[in-house]
Amino acid sequence: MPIEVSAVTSEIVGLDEFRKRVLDKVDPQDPSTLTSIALDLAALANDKELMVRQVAMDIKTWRRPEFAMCSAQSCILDRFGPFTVRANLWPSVAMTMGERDALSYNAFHDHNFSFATTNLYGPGYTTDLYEFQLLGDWARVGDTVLLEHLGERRLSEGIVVVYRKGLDMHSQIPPISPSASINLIVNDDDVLFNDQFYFDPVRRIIIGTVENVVEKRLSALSLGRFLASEASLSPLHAISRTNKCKRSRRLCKDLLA
Amino acid sequence: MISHMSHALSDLPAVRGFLEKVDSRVVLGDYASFWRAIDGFGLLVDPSVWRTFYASVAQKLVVDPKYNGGRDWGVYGFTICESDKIHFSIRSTLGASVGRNVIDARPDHATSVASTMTAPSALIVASDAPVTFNVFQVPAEVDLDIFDPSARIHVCDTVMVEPWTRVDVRAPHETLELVPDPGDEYCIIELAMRSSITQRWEFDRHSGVPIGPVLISRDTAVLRSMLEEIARFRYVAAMDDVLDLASHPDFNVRWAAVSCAWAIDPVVGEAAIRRAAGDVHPYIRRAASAALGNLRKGASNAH
Repeated sequence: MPIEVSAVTSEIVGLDEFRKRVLDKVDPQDPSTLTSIALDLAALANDKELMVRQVAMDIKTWRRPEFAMCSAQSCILDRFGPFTVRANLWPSVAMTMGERDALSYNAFHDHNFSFATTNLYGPGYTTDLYEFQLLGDWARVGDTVLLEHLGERRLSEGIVVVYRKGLDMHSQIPPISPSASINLIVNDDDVLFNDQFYFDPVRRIIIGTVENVVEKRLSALSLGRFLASEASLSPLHAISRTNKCKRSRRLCKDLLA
Repeated sequence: MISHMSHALSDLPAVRGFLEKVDSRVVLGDYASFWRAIDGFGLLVDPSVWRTFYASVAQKLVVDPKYNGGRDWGVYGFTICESDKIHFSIRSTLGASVGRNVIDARPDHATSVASTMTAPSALIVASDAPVTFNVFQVPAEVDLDIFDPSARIHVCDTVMVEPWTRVDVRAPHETLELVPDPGDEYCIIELAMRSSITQRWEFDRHSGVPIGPVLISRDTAVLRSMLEEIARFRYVAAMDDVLDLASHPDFNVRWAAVSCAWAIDPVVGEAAIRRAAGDVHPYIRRAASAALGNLRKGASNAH
């Protein structure tokens, strides 16, 4: 199950200091070391104006936007090496279809990256947690999965939760009033090549794939269904043999068949 | 100004040149300028152009297997070129497994919606067989920046389009919609003008009745979210920049800025509301008048 760490501190640290501590303590090859940064993440989250300061700086650039907010809900606060520090807004009600899609409310999904998260402000969203296991190494939409329900947890202040890629699956439930969380994400090569799915925990099946880099690569390659020619045979052969993404390899084999 | 030109055009200098020319000739908001600017569009109808393009897409992944797509890849297609005046992309129906639930049938309310398109475009369908489009129209006198519940959309034609032929879409008052066929596979190559309106409308396709407006611009959605955050914290240091946003071209942002200013400081905010009462957009004028009425009511109740 996700690793939950009690992290109560009165210390307040800024992004520069947090970056130093992450580089000292977290081994990107070993996501379990994310637990060692729990108190530091809580200390970063003690700066309640961390996000609004960034937002206030960014609106000055509205005529030529260069916003840290990459969507209406997510704000990239720092990026260094394989690490990303990201704040997420969690409205108490998702108003539009776009918000519902962006927020993962009531959509069970896994991750192809590991991350540590804690509450920045507000009461915190609730998450409904499962641990899952794929049956076989080639999963497709419609396939059955093994699931264990771990119950609901609220991401309240003083708690840091570490989600493990490819093991933990969850769905967010809107908080009772607007909240924000802050994440330290480890983006290793798995983000480029590994699957991410949506699940139906009642039927215990995969019901869709997450809109990630893997799907974007597949979308680009699949254009070959109508646009491939002799000129693309050689690269498609190469991708079908050597690309680290098994689904990209499979797609190229299908295009070549 | 062109902000993105895909690596996959590196062996297609004529296409690059065409796109640069289009970008230099289009005048935002002047739909006729778009049609004049794309008079060389025939170049793009040649399938050999797209074979060269695709070979570059595939070769990039051989040379750089860790390429994450940058601004090129999307979940449902590929962005070839972007500027503040044009958007050139390929969309595909091939990613059938992507999404939250691709197993169960979509609810009726999701399949009965037709949407207006936001700006004129020219497109080509790459497919094995002809595809069918419904052509919808909204009356030309409707101002799409002002949501009008009495307006209606109507189907004016159904057209069958052969692969590799040019189709013009005289949006925003005309909209093309592919007639869905679960078995169909195709790509749409589309060169579109950037929108000079702020929203598209969704309609019930059966009755033609408008359901609601939908924000077009990601920047608008982000700016509104940023202003809500500043308002939540009553972040006084941002006041000057918030007031500056009251002159944003999108009326959604202007009203969000006025609301934010009021949340930070009611005195400064009331002055912003008074200015907004003379805004060019009727939605803002009405909202400002209502807010001023409430303020007057609040003041007289206090006495």
